Amino acid sequence: MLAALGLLVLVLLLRPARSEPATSWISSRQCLECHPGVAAEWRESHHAFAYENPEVRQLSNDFRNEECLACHAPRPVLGFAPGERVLERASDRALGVDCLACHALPDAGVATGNPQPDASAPCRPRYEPRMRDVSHCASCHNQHGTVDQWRAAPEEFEGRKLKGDGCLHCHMPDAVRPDGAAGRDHRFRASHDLAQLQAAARIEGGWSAEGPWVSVTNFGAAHNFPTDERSRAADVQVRWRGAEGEPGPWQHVHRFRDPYRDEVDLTNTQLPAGQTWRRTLAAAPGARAGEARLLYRTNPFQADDEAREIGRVSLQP
Amino acid sequence: MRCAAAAALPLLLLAGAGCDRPHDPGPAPPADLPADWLQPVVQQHLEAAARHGLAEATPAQLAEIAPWLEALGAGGRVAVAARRELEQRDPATLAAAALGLLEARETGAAARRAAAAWLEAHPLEAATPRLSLRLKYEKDGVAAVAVARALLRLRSGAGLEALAQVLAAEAGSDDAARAAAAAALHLLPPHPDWRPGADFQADWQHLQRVLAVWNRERRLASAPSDQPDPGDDVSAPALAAEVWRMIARLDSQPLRPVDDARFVLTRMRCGVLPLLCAAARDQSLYVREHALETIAWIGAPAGRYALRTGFDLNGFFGQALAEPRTRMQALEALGACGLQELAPLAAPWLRSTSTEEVTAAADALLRCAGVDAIAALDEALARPERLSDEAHYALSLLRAELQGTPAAARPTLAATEKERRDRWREQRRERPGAPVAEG
Repeated sequence: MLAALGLLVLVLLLRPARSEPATSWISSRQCLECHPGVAAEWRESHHAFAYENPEVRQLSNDFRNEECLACHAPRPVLGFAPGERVLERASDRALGVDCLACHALPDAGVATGNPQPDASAPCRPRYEPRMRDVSHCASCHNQHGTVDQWRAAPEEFEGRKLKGDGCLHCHMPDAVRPDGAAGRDHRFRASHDLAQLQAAARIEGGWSAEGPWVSVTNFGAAHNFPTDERSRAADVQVRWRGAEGEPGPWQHVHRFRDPYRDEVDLTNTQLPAGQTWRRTLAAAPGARAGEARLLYRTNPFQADDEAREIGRVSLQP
Repeated sequence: MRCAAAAALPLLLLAGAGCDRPHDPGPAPPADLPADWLQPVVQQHLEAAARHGLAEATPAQLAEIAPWLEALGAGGRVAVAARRELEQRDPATLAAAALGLLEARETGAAARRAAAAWLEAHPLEAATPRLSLRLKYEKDGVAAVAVARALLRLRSGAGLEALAQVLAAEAGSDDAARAAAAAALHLLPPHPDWRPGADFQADWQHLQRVLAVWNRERRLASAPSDQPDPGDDVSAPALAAEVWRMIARLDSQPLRPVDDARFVLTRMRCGVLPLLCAAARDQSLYVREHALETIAWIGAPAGRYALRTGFDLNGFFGQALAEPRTRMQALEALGACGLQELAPLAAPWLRSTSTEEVTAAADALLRCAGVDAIAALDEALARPERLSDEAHYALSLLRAELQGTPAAARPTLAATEKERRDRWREQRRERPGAPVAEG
């Protein structure tokens, strides 16, 4: 019996070291069990919502336009060449852009952007520099040119660094979770977040000798404003106040947007990084003052009261 | 010692088993990819097609041709002179220029309509793919109807939906387009019960009948048929060259050209199927993936085409499934074709170690399998821990369909994913080979 136990110990000692993950990673649900802090952030994100988002479903004809699936329920990005587009997966689509989409390695291992990964973790994470590179995001987010816009953006604007070190700088900043664990914020805050919008563009205005004017500056987004999906739109509106002081209705002044290809009568009016759009306005007859606002719409048909107001400025002589 | 060794054997086996991943799914299906499976297919066909197809018109050619085409609509001597001038030119060069005008964003409405009218009056088979693509973008109703009429003359029903939409629009919205669409109906294939123009209701019903056959078989006919149809063919060198140019777009990194190509290829006659199967061996992953995806989007009409022409889908999928990177798409295409005879190729992949492949195989079986899949189905459902929510529901639905047992979805299955599979179950009634009443 002792000999057998000795033999068993020998076999266990001579077993090849386990370099592969402790289990096979077939669903992001497995990740969520060990990473509740990250999971909670991700659940708040539009990555988690990418497949179930009713707005996306409407615009994609309930994904009958299957071209949208590749980025709304992608296979692991690391299975494709850097920056090349991804293809859609068959299962767990409801998880949208899930953990495996960004972290799964082609050999079934798990990648991390942390240069000092915790090798004792069950998933045996391995440092993958691509996780921090814009090419990792480009597979989906360059479909409408966002990463190319970032590459073309100036390094600095108004005396401050504009581009940062890539997408993570603005969209995955460093975070410390309630349990004290440090990492990157997995909420991927972007255009659905008012603070993020206000950190990207500002509206200014006044009333000079030529008359009232309004301007919008892309001072903080290191890509076009708005960018990415062609459904995004930002509108400048103005309304005037007469002698009584009562405001009139909001009037359309300008739209920033990259139109769909079949909108043949429209051109791309997105505002590149570090640029300012400015217009002198014709005040309504009898107007003593006015105000202008900048609205952000996640689709061009969104009603004013559903749009996000990025800023408002009064126009006074 | 012998006794001790025997006692240690289970322990040794256990220790050895620790090297394996849990839930070993058993033997993998045989998957030998022929060494020469991947080829520069698209490149070879583009090179061969270089002498065929339509030339790209230059901006100068477009600017030169536009006034001549517009003059055709002026009537009188101007139109006669313009026609005489244009008819002296090479038809293919002229068609290419007219298509170029139609496709250019900056072309005005008058020139756009004139170009479409020329293409309708002088239909060129090689223009079929690009004419079909115009219907994705054309906003001018009159030009769109002219494109649909041109396609009808070219034995393509890709414009039938556009005609139906124009005719269904409320009166007064675009009367010129409605009148042109109504006049186009005499181009529909005949039927014993239909006299063109006798009354709108009968015309409308006939349009729906022809549209149903087109959607079912990608043939322009007024009645379903399982006989070979010369109209299936796309092998004429100029047309095939244009189809290969469309297939080449599948390699694009921006998705727009890919989507354009898929839009066209799914609306072509089913003679594109052999070309798409050839493209599924291309060296580019994206071409392979999207070629298979396009076959899946064509779906049951591709299965019917294979039945009526004897095209060997069984042999094709037998090899395509050996390619690991596109296996899921091959399974999707296999299932979408709806041929029960293909199901035995999909069933072994229920034992795959990849959840994705198991899901794709389960979905494929839901769409095409018959009772001969019950054994594989039972084996897979007996190990539910290996099945994704989607695969579990697909197999559960299939068993319900084949054996009358109630289907059950796991609570974690997304509602939209459940709906997709419910739709596939409904579509089983339309599988190739299933009896169908004349529309």
